[in-house]
Amino acid sequence: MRIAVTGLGAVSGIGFCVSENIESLRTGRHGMGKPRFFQTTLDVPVSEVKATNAELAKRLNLNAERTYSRTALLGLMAAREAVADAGIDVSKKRVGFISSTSVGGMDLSEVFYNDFRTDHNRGRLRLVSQHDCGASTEFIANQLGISGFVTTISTACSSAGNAIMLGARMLQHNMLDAVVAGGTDALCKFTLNGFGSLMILDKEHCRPFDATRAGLNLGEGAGYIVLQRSEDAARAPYCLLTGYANANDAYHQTGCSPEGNGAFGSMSAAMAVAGLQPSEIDYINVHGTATPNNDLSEATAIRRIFGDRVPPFSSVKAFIGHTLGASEGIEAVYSALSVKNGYVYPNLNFKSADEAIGLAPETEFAEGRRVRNVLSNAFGFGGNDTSLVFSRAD
Amino acid sequence: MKPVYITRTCQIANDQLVMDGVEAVLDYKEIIADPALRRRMSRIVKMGVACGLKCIEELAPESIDAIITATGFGCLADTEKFIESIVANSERLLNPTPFIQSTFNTIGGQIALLRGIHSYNVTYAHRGLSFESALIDAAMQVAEGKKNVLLGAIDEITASSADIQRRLGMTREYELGEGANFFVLNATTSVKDQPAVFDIDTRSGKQTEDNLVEWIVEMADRNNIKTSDLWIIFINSLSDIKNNIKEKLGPNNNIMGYKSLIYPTFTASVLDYAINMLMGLTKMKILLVTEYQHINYSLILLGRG
Amino acid sequence: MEELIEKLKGELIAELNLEEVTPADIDAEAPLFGDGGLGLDSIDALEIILILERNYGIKIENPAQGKEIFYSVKTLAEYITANQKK
Repeated sequence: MRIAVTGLGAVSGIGFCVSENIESLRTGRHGMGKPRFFQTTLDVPVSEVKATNAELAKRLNLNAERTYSRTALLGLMAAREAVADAGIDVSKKRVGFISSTSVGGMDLSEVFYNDFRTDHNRGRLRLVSQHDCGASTEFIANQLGISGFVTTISTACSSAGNAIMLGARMLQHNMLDAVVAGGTDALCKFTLNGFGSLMILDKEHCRPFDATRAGLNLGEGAGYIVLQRSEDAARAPYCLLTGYANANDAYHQTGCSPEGNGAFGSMSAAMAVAGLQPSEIDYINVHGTATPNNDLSEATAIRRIFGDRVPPFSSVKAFIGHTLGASEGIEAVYSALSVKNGYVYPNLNFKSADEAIGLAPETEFAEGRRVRNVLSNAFGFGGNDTSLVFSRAD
Repeated sequence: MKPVYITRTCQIANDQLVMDGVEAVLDYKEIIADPALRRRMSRIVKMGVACGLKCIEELAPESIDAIITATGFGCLADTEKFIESIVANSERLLNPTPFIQSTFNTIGGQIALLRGIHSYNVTYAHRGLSFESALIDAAMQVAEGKKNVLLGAIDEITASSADIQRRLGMTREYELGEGANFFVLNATTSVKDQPAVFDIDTRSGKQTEDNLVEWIVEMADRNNIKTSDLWIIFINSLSDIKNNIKEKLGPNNNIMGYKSLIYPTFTASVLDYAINMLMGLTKMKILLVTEYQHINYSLILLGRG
Repeated sequence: MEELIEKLKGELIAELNLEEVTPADIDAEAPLFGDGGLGLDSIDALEIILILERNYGIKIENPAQGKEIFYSVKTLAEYITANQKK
């Protein structure tokens, strides 16, 4: 069975739709800046989607007077684009929606808590009733008119990779005929301060794989892809999803093992599912958060698999930040277009190679390259490592 | 769907550990031997990790092919602790531990870490269908040839979440609850009459009595079972309409209501209950009909293999 | 110095939630991290950075800097004595 990628949708700090995202990647326009759309005293760059919640609601033709979690708004924007792109009839029973998020409606819960903490009878309930991860998923599914299988995965930063993997497996098991899968996460104090407390936020613009890298920048956004069995596709697919795997590093709650065991496991297993040899991978969209630990561990795992023939690779995190539960949703969209159009994305801010890593990422946007297969990584807390493989449809 | 055998069950609720229906000693220090990890664990994490570890106690780490967990609300106490510190300390000098522990996959991740299990590890957080989603994934894993799939569900209740749920009107009829339930699933078993899940389905959005009847019949049909051969257990608010549904399904049905505590993953504890009930039913199959907040519904068909 | 060492032991036990450890169990010269000592890890290092800033007004910007300072309770006390402002 061939799983086709038939629809794409993405919103991030560098664009409200897929074409805007790609244009920014092409022209080197990143999304980093001081936080403008949410209140924080932390002075670190973040990649925000450049609109208030009211503006987002307006773009989505929603009643701007109502209260929506930003996670739900961003998710609806990207999911709606993906569904329209694929041209699927979502009213059919066997269309599923599998979303992921790391903190759900936390952006609203934080506001609620300000009143609630001193008096449990205070705080607007509307602000906290969307706290759980499933709330944004059900909102998006209802807005899209999807009434089939709907669920939410939350495995920190690898969440969307796992959502896409579940979607592919449910098609394989003939439980669904089409599935919209990906993730959404809005910036909020909770995650920004969380990563701050771990002392892994760079006060400067992040520099994945660079010798001087000093941490990550957070971002927000959403990304979804539509998957169908290739014989059911209403349009020519972008590419195929041929491989997927999740493995656990089982080394530390937040850090990665020096040998990159989890990353090695997920990449090797995803390539095995796709039936590919290392020499057939033409581009790797790395996780590349720009923390000293992640990039070294990921590079070590890549070297263990590819030896001295490491294919071109790059991290897009300096463009869009680390978008947590949305990250592999957005990056799956980029990866699908890499296969379709031979794109290779620049790893912004890379200047000097780290001797310990000994690898240099791509630094220029390229198109029309021969890209047969793309390997895309997303790694999260709890040693949760996911890799996907996208391949040419022809 | 092929039968999925439940070869081990483990439950922690009200500070009691019950394994395969038998009460056992709950000693967190003994079960979670690594003090370095244990000392950072909040109540829900201890409960979930200990329950999961007991469930796979004698199994070698490399024999566990998947860890799939479910939680509706996640680690609420840690989440609140971190939000409180953000507000109280004005975003300065924050302890990272509650943030790390608040992650939804922390329990699945720490079971993997403590036992060195490198296999598939995923967490579902989808309201009243969190556990059902995890069970569907687990059944697919088993069908894909995976062995000893560890499936678990954990939710906790805190003072704040209880107050919020009370204000939201969720406690009008039922008591709020919490608990941890873990299961080991396999495609085969050497034990005769081992309990097994035969089918599962989920729906979102309010279901009428007629919808439920139609749905139950559809599931019975696709499993070649007469509805009259089923023990049908209606959970929580559905137990109030069980007689109406009985009438619509036809005579001779063994129908019962079961009022459970309410929390997003309570279906896991109902499944544990039903597995124990199966021990007294050699021929019959049980159908669980669950509902959460009139939004999430599930059907789970189980029997002895 | 002895007084500071005892104070630090108490702070470590409280802040790191070291169940079942008493100040007497902690050898001031034994390594805090890794095998053989208290077996602390990188998350504990972040918590110790907070102890230094909150209780002693000492700021450590980069966790990697902490490696030698955090070797043992004694090295920690020596660093505090040399750098304390408040």
